Amino acid sequence: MSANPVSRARLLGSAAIVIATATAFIAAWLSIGPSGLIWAYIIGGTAIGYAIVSIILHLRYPDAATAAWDEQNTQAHRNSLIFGYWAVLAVFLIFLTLSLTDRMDPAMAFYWLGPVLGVAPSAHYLTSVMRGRAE
Amino acid sequence: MSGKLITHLRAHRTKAGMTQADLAAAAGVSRKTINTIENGVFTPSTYLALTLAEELECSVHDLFELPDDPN
Repeated sequence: MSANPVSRARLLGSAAIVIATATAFIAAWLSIGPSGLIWAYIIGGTAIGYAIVSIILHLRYPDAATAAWDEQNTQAHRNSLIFGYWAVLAVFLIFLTLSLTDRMDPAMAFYWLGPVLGVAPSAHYLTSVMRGRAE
Repeated sequence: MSGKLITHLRAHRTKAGMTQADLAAAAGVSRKTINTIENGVFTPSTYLALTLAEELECSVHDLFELPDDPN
């Protein structure tokens, strides 16, 4: 793991968001665990907590923040946002099909698009880190 | 335009007695970026290439070269 505190927080924050969202999806799919609202608080709380920690670290370690957002990491971040766009579009089409065939509540589909939108870029970024393309 | 950039960054860095972390700190980038440039995974921008050359007190042409044109 990187010695850079900003990179480290980004990696752990992204991993936490991905794990929380994946767990929520699995739990919802299996109809076990807490309600969707509780999962929304868990996912949202994780994301907001990561954002706060990230802001503090950026202010506390400006040089580390510059290095953490160098051109390679910025490129990896851009790629993750592009992936996020296509992932959400694909999931929207899946949810739309499920809703139109009465296999998913449209309101539920709408609420789940939020976590997908949040987790897809993070998941792609994690993959970039694991492939050695980002820190 | 295609082809993998040939890099001599590692040779010049070790010749200068610097670690990847040293060079990364001097250039204001992450150690991973230096590592991936040395391994030919990441192609740096003109700005970063010039910065690295400046830090290693050599020319950009000493650090990088284009692959031979296969045509």
